[in-house]
Amino acid sequence: MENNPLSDFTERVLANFGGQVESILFYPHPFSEGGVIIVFGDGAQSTLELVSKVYLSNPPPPLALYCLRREELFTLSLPGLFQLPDLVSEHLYLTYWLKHKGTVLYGSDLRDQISLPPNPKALLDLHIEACLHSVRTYYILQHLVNKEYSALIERLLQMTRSLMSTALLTRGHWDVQLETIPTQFDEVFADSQAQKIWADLLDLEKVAAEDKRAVRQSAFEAAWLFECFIRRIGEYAR
Amino acid sequence: MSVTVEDYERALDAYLDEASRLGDDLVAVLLYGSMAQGKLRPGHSDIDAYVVLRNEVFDERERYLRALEILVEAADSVAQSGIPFHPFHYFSLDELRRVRADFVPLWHHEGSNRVVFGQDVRSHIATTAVSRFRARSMFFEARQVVLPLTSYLYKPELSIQDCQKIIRHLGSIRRFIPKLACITLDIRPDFSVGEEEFKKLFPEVETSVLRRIDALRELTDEELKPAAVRETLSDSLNFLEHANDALLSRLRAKSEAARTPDYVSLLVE
Repeated sequence: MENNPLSDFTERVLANFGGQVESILFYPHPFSEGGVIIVFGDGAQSTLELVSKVYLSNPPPPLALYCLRREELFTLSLPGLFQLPDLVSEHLYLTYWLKHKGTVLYGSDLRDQISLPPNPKALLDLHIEACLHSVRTYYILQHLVNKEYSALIERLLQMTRSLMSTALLTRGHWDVQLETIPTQFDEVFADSQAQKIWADLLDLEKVAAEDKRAVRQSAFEAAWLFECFIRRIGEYAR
Repeated sequence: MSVTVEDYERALDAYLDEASRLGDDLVAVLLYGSMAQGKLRPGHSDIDAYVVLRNEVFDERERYLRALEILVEAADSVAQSGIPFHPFHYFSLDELRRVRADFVPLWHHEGSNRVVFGQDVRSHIATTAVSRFRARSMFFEARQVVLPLTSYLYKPELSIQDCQKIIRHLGSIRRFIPKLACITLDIRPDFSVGEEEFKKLFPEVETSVLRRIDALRELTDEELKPAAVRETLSDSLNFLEHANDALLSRLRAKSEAARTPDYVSLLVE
């Protein structure tokens, strides 16, 4: 255990539960601080009591926390909720990074019992579905109504980047870093049309926020480019 | 000034007036949710709608930008009305074939929706196998979102802000958990009938706490009692856990019948 806050937390959990914990695993994550998975035996009856005690053990704040019985490990391989604000499901990368870069903090190494998501193309399709449902409504329209033009451009750049990262999963590229996703995307897909859209979006970010008329126009243009990108990247979900 | 049902009708009319400037590019406006069901809670409910545009709007830059401009102005007219507001979802006609699976039942129940403008394209609304897979898995993921609320069970004092936050989450448990549990087993009830279906499918799970959540949500801040909020939270989380156990037992049985230990594969078509 290299990380002290993690090690301290692990000790506190073990002190609270004694023999009920089968395993404690840590996973890093490309877009977050990662998380801890505490696995109880299938015989654990009152998960609610166990979970509340885990939260009372002061988990280190930036970490995601999963408290599961062994039978529930499959839930880690489900596609995730694609929730706002980021729309990138923690689950997309969780199992990849857990299996390849994760560590066992205590007990059995259960990583072999956790499957990767069944179909990465399906994940991209779900990500696009989430964009059609949520980005258009809660970002594009909402920001435009609120006259938050620069914020919309920034948000759409972030959304485009995250779509690229999910597209990379369809080609088996899970080891991504937020800053280099567009470069990795270019290298893997060599898609000139997608590259052009990304470059145009980046240009819109440079429009000065003080120039109200220009930045408004740029925000509408960004929305159009984002629609174009969704269509383009949809090809890789097929 | 308090808002009335008439204010909602006026806001919708104002929206339709603005949106009709789209001309032939506007195929339909379809209303769903509490307003469509005649169950508005003035001041609390928002207006939920799908705006359906011609496919070509998304093919041509100029046409798209003009449509977006009008949609923004139309949304702004509702935003200015003073009623709780979020912009409406908008899709091309073709995209109605791939709406989120958990939204599809809304369109297949009489009384849950209505056409307020244009063509009746509700029969176009469908979803994909992938989206159904996601919908079947949502219960377990929603549970992970809710479980951190357990930390409030042992917090020495609950402030009014804590109580408000808890009640918001309890509202989500009440609204979504019975429905999502049914969806996991491939029963897709409407939001309004989810609880009845749930009781049929999971008779072993006690649901009386759902009534208490309803009652709690009606209280004003002055009427809130932290002890009662905490007790309802505890019972709601127990309800969630019992539902989870019940679902797992169904999946276990399916897994044995299918002779596969892989529960994920049972959720994929």
